[in-house]
Parts: sequence; structure tokens; C-alpha cells
Amino acid sequence: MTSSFNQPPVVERPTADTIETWLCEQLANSLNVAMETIDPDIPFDSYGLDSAEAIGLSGDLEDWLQQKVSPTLLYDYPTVAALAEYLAARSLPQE
Amino acid sequence: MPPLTFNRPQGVSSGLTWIDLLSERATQQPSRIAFQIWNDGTVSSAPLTYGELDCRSRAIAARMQRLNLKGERVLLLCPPGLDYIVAFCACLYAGAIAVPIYPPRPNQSLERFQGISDDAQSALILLASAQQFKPETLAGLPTFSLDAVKSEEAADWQPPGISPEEIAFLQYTSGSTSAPKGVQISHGNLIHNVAAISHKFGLSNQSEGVCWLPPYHDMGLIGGILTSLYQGATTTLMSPVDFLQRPVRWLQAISHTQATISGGPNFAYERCVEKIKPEQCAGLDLSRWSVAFTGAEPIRMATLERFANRFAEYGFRSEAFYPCYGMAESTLMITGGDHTRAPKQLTVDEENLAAHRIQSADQGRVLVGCGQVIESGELEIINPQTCRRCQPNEVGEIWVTSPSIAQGYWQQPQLTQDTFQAYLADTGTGPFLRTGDLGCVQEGELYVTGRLKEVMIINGRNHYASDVEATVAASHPAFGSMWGAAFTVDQNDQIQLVIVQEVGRVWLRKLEPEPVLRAIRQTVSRVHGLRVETIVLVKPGSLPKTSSGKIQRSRCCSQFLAEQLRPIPVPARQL
Repeated sequence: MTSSFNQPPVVERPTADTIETWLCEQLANSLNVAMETIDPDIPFDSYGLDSAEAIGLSGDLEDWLQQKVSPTLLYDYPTVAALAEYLAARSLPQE
Repeated sequence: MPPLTFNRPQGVSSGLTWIDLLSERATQQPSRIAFQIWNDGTVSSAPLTYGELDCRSRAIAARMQRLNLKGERVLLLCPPGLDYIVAFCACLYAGAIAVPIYPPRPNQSLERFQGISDDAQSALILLASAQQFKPETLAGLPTFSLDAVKSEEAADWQPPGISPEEIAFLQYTSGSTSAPKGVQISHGNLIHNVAAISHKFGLSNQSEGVCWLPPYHDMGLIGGILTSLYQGATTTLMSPVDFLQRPVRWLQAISHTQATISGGPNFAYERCVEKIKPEQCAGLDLSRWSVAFTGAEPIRMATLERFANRFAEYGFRSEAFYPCYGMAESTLMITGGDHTRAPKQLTVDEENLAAHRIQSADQGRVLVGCGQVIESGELEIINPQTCRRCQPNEVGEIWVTSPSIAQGYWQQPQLTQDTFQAYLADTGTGPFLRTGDLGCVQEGELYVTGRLKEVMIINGRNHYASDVEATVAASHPAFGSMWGAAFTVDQNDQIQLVIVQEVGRVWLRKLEPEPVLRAIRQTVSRVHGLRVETIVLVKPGSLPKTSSGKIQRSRCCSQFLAEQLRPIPVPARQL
């Protein structure tokens, strides 16, 4: 397992794939499981991610993407895949 | 400006309602900003003045009056913000009983929400807008949205003719292990308590507040919002999730608005110390912050010290810390200290504390003083078994009486009698509210030591769960400010101590269980003389908490017994 704590802030234009990988890593980290066990199509809450953690993760996302992220984004896009796709699409016109 | 009629707490029990108060504020200072929103690093351009709050509240109340809702319960489903406050005041203007409740989200468990909604037997739901999410189970209830009401309708409003004894709102308590309990707060209770808080905090109408606390809990609603209205002051609101996402926003709002008053539970200060990075603090000025209240959960001196040290260079003064004690059953505040002084602390001997005695010591448990009872109140330390006063150096249950004590629990006469109508066995003095909290009074200062029901009796000695938890938290850096639960289970006719402890995220990966488990066992044994039978290490966020962030020990215990806790995987031999 790789550590994501010391990752440099990214990324010029993150693709959905990049974001998906980052999210899987964060989740795997939070849940202390291997990254391979995170399925991008399974809802966050079925992994036992509670609401304060979800809100905290949205803050980490802000740091990483260096753009504003709604604190409740993980409710609106409740899987890794859906969230990554949304963020990738959103980041395009702003660059 | 001449002194306001309401400014003296002793003048407030003389037959005033919240309607009288808000109307007077609106007349005196219609264009003064009552609330504004902090968003995106700036104050939003659409504040709510005292005049607008009064006018919008009357308009909505007028509609409610056409529906004959006097005395009926109205669920407030608006998201935290200006609409929430308007909806609350509108209910009171209509003579209806407001029921603050957290707005449910799609995909969320609605169990607790539904429990409250059923218990209150609501007649109406107020939403901010028709687009807002409303659970299907409420489909049968009439609803209306605030944005559909026009200000002109304010002219139709009639004073509802209510007296201060009538119920203004139901505050559902967060103790969610049992069925929901709606605390009945009268207009008189509300006015008395906000007056008392203002007096204790030393507020004036020049005070500036910042509040991110949820308006559906007593600390946010009473301490953050209604106290500000009582004073005719200005408060800047931010959403609770904005704080949770990025705690520095709280301090930025305080700095930007030069706020004098703001606060939260212990964990809020802890979060700031933990999460805020130095580079985020550039330009912070916390020098005008004079009341940093802390309450609603055990106050840890170590947290206050860490916060004060960390933010001293941005002007924060440790005298600003204002530890206080209260609960929904007393509207909010029961005790608070002198707002110009630094918090008092008392170090007591652990051995004696376990035997319910207070003996000051050089080393031991550090208790934080919560001041003195509010104006017109009386506080007694009572032996919960004999219902007689404790000796001065004894710990007992905190009993209290004051005009802020609520009118009991909604439709629960037995529970109301047990909790609100306690009398001293020997003198018959009463009635008192039984707080269920343990504490002692030393040199006129209240020190809260734990919850009555969370005393663990092991080998005939009393141990506070919160005390053992603090010991565990301090036993290893991996536990820093993580949550832990200590409780006993009865196995093989033996009372056994179980510790469930969250491990800090950065430690998960490198955790070597053996030294960690040894640290817990050794420290608990050394400090409390107790053997820890079982230790379960879990990930951050795994422990069950109430919606206000208190550990639910009994739920944690049942999860443990049902083997529903998910331990961090470690080799079995090491456990």
C-alpha cells in the first residue's frame, strides 16, 4: 500500500481516472483496507464512512484540487466513480 | 441609546414573551443587522435586519394563524441559516410550538427524525423552499415554504395573546439511546435564560457574534442565535458543515467580523488545533474575542491550553475561555463564571475521586471550573441515593432550580416527575431538576466530574467512564484527541472493563499493536488500579456518538457484545 499523506498537491487538469485513483487511495486509507478492495461503483456509506469523515474528505479534496468543493458532495455523488466523473467534468471549463 | 428594557435579568420574569422582545428590538433598531452569513471567506451581501426579521416572521405567522395552529407543533425543516431563524420566530409569533429538528438528507437514516416527528405530533412543516427535500413519510402533513410568503402579509398578523407560561418550543435532547424526549421550553424560560446568559457573558448590543453551531441544538439556538437577538447584537452565521470541512473558516469569520463572542464544544477547539495549518493563519486577528465559551461535553484543560498556546500569536487570550455548564432541561445555561477571568482549575486525587471525595492534589485529574449558578437559581450537590445534601468535599448529583428550568418532557408525565420534581428527603425543599450529572462545589465554583449513569462500579469502587477514557487517550500518541469508550460487561459473574479506542489516522498504517496495548493496560492500571480485560482498537469515526458529538457508551457496549465493532486487524496473539 502506498501512502498518500505526503503527496504533493496536483495536478494540472485531473482526469476522471486520476481523481478516481486518488479517491480510492483516500478511502482505502480511511478504512485501512487494500486499495484493490475499493470498488468505484459501491456507495461510500456501504464502506462505513460516517458523515464527519465524508465532510472532512471533501476538505481534503479542496486542498488537492485547489478549488472549492461542496461539503456535501459525497452525498450528491455517492460513489467514487460518480464523484470522479463529476469533478473531472467540472474542472475542465475552469482551467 | 437609552438602556434597553430587557437588559436586566432581574427585570425579565415579569410577564414578557419572545414576541414582546422581538417586536421591541425591531422598533428600536429596525435597520440594525441581526444576522448575516459567512460564506466563501466573506460576509454575504444579503443580511437580515431586525426590522426584516420581525416583518417576515409576522407574515409567515399570519398564514399560520389562518390555519389555526395556536398550540400546535410545527417542524422546522429549513437548513441552518437565516430562514431557520425566521421560521423559528414565525412559530412563536403565531403562538405555535416550534420543533427544531435537523433537516434530513436523501439516503440518510430517518429513524431518529421520524421518532421526533411522531412524538411531537406535528401539524405543519416549514420548509425554506418547495425544492427542499422532505421525507416521504411526512407526505401526509401540510407544508409550506417560506419563500412563498410575501412581506405584505405581515399586516394580517394578530398578536396571539399568549402568556409567558405557554410553551414556545420543544427542544429534543440528543441522548438518543432511548426514545426521543421533547423538553418543553416556555416563553418565560427562554427569556430568563437568554437574559442570564447575556449577563454572565457580559454582552451588550455592541457585541458581535459568530456561530456555526447547528440551530437545531440548544447550544446553537439559545447560546448562539437567541441570546444575540435578546441583546440586539449582530451575529454572523456559518453552516456547521463549513466548519467541519475546514475549521479555519471559524477563526477567519471571527477575525474578519472582529467578533467578541463565539464558542462550541471541546471538540471544536481540538479540531482547530489538529487541522489548521500555520499557512492558513496568515492575518488572523483574534484579539477582540473575549468570550470563547465551551460546554456541552466534558471540558479538557489540555485542549484549552493547546488552543491558547497555538493561537496566542494571533491575539487569542486564554482569559477569553468561558467554560459553562447547562442542558436543554434548563433551557441552556445552568452555571458560568466571571467572564473577565481565566478558567479555574482544580487538580484532585484520583483515588479519592473514585470514592466520590474531593481532595486536591499536585497530580491527578484536572477539573475545569464552570462558575456559579445563574441569577435567581439555586444549585445543590445531592447524594443520589439518599436525596440529602452532600458534605462540602463530597461528589454528588447536581440538582438545580431556577426560572429557566423547563416545563417537563412533552407528553411524558412519569419521566417529567422523575426528572423535574425532585425534593430533598430531609427538608422537603424543592422541586429541583435532577441533572444526572455528578459534580462538586469548591470555593463557590462548580466542577462537573462525570455522568451519574456512567459511573462504573468495579470491585466495589466507583470509576468515571470519562475519567478512564481520558487516561487511555493520554497513554499513547496514537490516541491524541481520538474518541474512546470505557464500559463494563458482566461476564462469568465478573465485572470486566472494556476499552474501545479509536486510533489516529496517521498511526493506522504504522501501528504496532503490542506497545500500544501495553501502554493502555499499564497506564490504566497505574492511574486507576484497574485491570483492562479487553481492548478493541478501531478506526477513527467508528464509535457511536450522539448527533451533538457525545460518546454513546451503552450503544458501544451493545455493539461490542453483538460483535459488531470492527477492530483494526492485528495478529490475534497480540490481543
